[in-house]
Amino acid sequence: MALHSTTPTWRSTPTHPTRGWAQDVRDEIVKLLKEGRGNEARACYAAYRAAALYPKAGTDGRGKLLQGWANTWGPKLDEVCGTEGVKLKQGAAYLSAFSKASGKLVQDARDEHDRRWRRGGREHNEMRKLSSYSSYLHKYDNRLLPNPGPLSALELPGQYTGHAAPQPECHVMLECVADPLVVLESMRLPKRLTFHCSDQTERRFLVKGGEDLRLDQRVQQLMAAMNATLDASAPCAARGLRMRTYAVAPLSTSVGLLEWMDGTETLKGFMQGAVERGSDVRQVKDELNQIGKANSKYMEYANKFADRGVKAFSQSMIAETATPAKRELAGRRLEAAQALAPKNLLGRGILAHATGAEGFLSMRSAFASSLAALTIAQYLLGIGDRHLDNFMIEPATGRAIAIDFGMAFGHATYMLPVPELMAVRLTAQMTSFLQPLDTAVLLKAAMQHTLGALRARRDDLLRLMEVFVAEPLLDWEAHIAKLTEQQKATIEQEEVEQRLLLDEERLRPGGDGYETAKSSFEAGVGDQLASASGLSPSASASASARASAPPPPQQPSSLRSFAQKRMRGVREKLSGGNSARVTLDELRLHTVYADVSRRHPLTPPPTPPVSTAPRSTVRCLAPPALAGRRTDARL
Amino acid sequence: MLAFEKVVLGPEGSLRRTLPHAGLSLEQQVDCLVEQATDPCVLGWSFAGWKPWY
Repeated sequence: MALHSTTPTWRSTPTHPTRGWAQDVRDEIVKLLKEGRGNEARACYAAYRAAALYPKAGTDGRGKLLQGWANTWGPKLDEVCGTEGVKLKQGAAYLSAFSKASGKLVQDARDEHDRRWRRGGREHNEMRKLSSYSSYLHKYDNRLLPNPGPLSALELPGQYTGHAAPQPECHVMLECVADPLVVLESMRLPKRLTFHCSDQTERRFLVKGGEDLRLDQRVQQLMAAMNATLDASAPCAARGLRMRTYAVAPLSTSVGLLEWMDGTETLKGFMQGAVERGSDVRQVKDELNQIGKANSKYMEYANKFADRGVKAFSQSMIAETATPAKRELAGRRLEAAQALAPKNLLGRGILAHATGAEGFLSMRSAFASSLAALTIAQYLLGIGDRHLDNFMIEPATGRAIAIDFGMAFGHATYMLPVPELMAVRLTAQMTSFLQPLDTAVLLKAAMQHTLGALRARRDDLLRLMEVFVAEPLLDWEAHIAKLTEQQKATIEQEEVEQRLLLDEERLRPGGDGYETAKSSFEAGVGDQLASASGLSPSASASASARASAPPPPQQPSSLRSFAQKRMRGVREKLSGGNSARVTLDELRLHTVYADVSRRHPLTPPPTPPVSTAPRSTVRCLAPPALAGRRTDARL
Repeated sequence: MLAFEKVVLGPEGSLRRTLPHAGLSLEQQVDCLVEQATDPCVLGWSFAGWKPWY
């Protein structure tokens, strides 16, 4: 999920010096040496060395952990790379020696770190001290700064929202940072800091290393824009249909701060808690047992298709959908697992927090409306990976909150080895909470209001998303490398068609460019039609894509087309697209599909049938991209 | 792809198979989405860690 960046990242992993060296610096050096850019590789090491290993006296803000690491491993790194990197050379022989030496060094450093810092280690307790990571933050005190004021004090992160011109003089400043911090148990051991702020509040932030948070930040901005639209729509505002957002402050491509939402729990933890709060010890044990059984029941089957790679997955899918009766098998194995798990855990959890029946009902409807708004917003943005740790709940109000947007714009569908086919998460625990009212009453109406308000402001939202085309995500580039030539040709051809149809829309009598561009339209479109209708896989189509819209020189045209396609998915959803068709369209870019279509080279790409709705209705609801796309292109 | 189509579009007569590709009304679009997201035969193809049964 990394985004394009040219900024060096060697400063970036403050809490994991070994990982910082291994992933940010060594990998970069290897890449530069391979590309024959020896000078840059040497400069990269020199810059890292000056910042992380031997900072100038007086500018050293490192904590004890980082200092200790540099003292132990700095001399050894110098041995391998040479002071100022002079030993780094190009050439295969040197590269393999370098990989070997640096690999051993990383392994030794990890072992040493584990011995000293992990649980039971000599310095384990130091893990919780701020001074281990940053002596600068540890000593920071707004009142003791030599020149108090906005230039030397630290601001609370996340105050530049992008909605209005910033007013730094009104921003909240940090007074000091609390010690000790909290180390969370999840994989990357994120650290939670508590800031004492100038407005007399305490705010908590999570420092997360090893992930690029810029995508999360953009998704939060888009959700904030959606909130503005929802607030302005009377039916949505009346029902409290909006998403809670939180501050995200990326500091580099691999570290950043996330606002900690006080008074929230993950949905998974909340449901677990609902079981554990039970008064009957035996029943609690029993139910926890059942949850485990449901999990292994499903896993027993799911691992069969998930563990053996993409090919095995596509094969089991082909085998198991051969007849309608076989298609039902997947449903039955899901229901078998569902039957084992305890029911209505959300309802039980909320009941424990509610003061009475009235409270329970209002919390349930708050859950339903927040879930409806979230479902639509996440559907539109193609947010995947919606496991129950990525939903939070605020037990005091019942409102649901979504976190972690590392997979957006259909990523989980076209990219994951086991593609997500369900578009949004509305699993049994979520929907059964609403009973005895069914989803139609509590969820669907609210979803329609949300979708209606957002559809009405479609163009505003799409304009905000232009940034993803101007600056595509790095993982898109990586994905395109895996696609077949046919898949690439298809997305490039689609872009040509899309451009054509948008032109047609704009240039129709009454369209905004009709009068001025009429003649050039007639001249240009003839050519485009000729190549777009050439059905043979499509050197001509991609050539015409390049001719009609020369991409910026540094950007390969498949990447541009891919980015356009991702945004087109959002456009289709905002124009009344059929969710299943959108999912299928995303799957067409999956390597499973590449695999399947290689084996059936004669199957033409599926053609969407012409809409059965009267053409005029379709026109006003959908952009021409959707309404009878293929027929138009073949005229 | 045919296999994917069978799963994602659902059985003959399902809303999402019957409705057109685009130009749906709000009601249709939401019904379609909920039908797809709650179809056990779709959820049964999820990655185990996603816990579709929960």
